[in-house]
Amino acid sequence: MPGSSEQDWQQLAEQIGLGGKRREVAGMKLFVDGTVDNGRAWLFEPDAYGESVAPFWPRPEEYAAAVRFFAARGIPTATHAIGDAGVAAVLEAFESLPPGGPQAVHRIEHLETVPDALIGRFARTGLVASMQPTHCTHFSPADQTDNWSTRLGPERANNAWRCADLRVAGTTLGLGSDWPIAPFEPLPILADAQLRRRSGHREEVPISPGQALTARQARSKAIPRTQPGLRGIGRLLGP
Amino acid sequence: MTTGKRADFTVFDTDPLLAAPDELAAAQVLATFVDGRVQHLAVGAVR
Repeated sequence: MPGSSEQDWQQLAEQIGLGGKRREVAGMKLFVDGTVDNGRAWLFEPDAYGESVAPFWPRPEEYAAAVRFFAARGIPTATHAIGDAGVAAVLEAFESLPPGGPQAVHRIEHLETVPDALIGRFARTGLVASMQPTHCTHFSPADQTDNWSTRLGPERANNAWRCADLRVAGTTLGLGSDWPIAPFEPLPILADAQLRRRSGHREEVPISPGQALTARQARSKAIPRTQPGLRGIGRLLGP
Repeated sequence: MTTGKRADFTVFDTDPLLAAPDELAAAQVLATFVDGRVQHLAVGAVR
């Protein structure tokens, strides 16, 4: 949290590994912004109502310091970053890590709109892109008449949930539900990632259909197969 | 999967890699196994 100290971070770090057979404190969750719908995401340029321009950490360098603290101890992190400027700030924090540190899986959660310039950078950091296909298919119809699309405008709305672009660039994807914000059933989530519309609604127009994943892309699970023992949060989809 | 191991797996009524996405979304889970033991078995599924 903004305003927290290294002493606070140390106390959190000591809880890593607590849990039982089917649950575990496996990493740290951080936030750099809120949501587009509420005008609290962190965008490079304001939304249509002049909102979504402020970071959650008033001094983002303190967020980067927290990342350095946990990453240096091999503790996996997941950072909520929805807006393009928020995603860029997380990439910058990880780009500035000293080389040769311990390996762990770090994630960006809920990223939505990402411009071209960030796609290649994303892959080079090795960060996992965690996205929720049903956020796209349930709340942001292709006609862009909803609050989210109106706030972002067409250019940024068209750059959203870029599953295929990120994947092709070499980024590992994590697909999830974000339940209870969106439905939790896993099969429709995987189907929506392929369809870019709500499964079972063949009349709906796909949203940025070029970002659809194939069945194999949506179901393959790379981390346990390729890097056994690597510490991370949850199960991941990868190249 | 081999005999004697303790797999975690799910049995669907369709092939998740071959099914059309709309069909996949409507698929049923016939059974789930955790540590090699049945955790869930749909009524009517073959044991």
